[in-house]
Amino acid sequence: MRISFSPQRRDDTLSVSKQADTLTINGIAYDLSVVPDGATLPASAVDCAFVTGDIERIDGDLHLTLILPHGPSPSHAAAFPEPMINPPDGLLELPQ
Amino acid sequence: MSDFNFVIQTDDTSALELKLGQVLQTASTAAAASAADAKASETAAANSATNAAASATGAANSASASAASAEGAGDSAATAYDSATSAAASASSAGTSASNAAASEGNAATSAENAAVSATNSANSAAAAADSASDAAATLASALTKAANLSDVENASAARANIGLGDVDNTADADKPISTLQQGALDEKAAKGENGDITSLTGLTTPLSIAQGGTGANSANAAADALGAYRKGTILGGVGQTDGVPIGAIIERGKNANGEYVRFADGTQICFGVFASTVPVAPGGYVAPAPTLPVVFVGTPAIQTEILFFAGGAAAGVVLFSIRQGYLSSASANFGVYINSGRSSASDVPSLTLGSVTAQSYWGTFMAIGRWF
Repeated sequence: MRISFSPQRRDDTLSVSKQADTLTINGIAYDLSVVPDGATLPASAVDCAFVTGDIERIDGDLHLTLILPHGPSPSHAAAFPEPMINPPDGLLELPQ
Repeated sequence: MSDFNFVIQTDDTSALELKLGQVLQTASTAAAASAADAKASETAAANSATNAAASATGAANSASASAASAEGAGDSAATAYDSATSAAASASSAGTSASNAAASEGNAATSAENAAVSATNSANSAAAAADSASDAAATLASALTKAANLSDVENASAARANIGLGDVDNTADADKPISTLQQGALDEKAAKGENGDITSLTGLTTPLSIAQGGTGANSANAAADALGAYRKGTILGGVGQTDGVPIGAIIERGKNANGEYVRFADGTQICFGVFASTVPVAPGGYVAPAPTLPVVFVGTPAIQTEILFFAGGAAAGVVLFSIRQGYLSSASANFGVYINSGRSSASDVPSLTLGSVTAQSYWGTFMAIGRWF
């Protein structure tokens, strides 16, 4: 799984945990295992404001992009976040 | 019958012996008489013996009494000796005392003589003191005369008037003079009331409170903060609001991977940025840009985008004409779509007729204006 982040100044917060191909975003679970290899799922197909861009499965790995909220004067890591590649299951340590 | 001696002790200590055997051999007749005589004598002897015994007992008692008397006489003699010794010592002491008394008598006589002299001197001194007192009284009486202005010491007010001090105790408080130095010092003091004469304050250690017209602070920054005023250091920063009232800075500026933004305390928000792609776009193909904005808006902002197609890769090479068409999408609002005309801006002219150049990359910009609350 490869999770990219799209930073955005906003006042809400994001909490993501992962279990295999299921992402739990702010308490709501999204099972992405239904996306077959080579397929592309538009962001609009996922009812989540933090999912942006298409969701793809490339060579068995899911690729998706999440909005990363930050407040005023964010750290560089939060304003210009690096993608997260194959994060372990559990609560993700989002860039702060 | 055997001989026996019979001895009788009498008062004169002479012994009477009778040899009865001889009497019996001489005459029996006489014997009887003698016996009778003897019997009488015996009785008499017995009486004498009894008397002698009584006398002996009395003698013994007398001897015992004499011995006791002798012993008491001895004791009395010892006591008398001791008394004599004490008397001798007392006599010696009496002699010494008499001698001392004689000496004391002499001293007493001398003291009496000295006392008489002292008494005489004291009498003389007393007489002299009496003379001095008399002189002093006369002097005082002459000093307190009318001419000396103190003759009326019984009346304090009259006495003051007599010596020219009649006004000492009758000056009204308002008429009492103050010294020039005191008046000068008073003139330096600020007036109470409107304080028109105060031109500056120095040495003020406690800042005036806001209620007093001050700021309650010791520095310009603290003063501005105390007054809730914006200053150079607080104009920029995080912007926030509560019920439309700003609670943060006036302007917030930010930047992230999606672009830059400016947020104003009044709710206005502007963002802008660029996006690029190296995905080829054939003539007639289109791009519907939906960039993720660097900041979130409330409602739908007004978004302007522009896309340039390039004949080369990575925004290089000749720019191709693009055709923008309005477009409404629930996902991307009015971003619009951009069609690659396939016509080179270097060799062709704008036309709705498609050319043949495939864009190897495109590059676009966006700007959005809206509100953040």
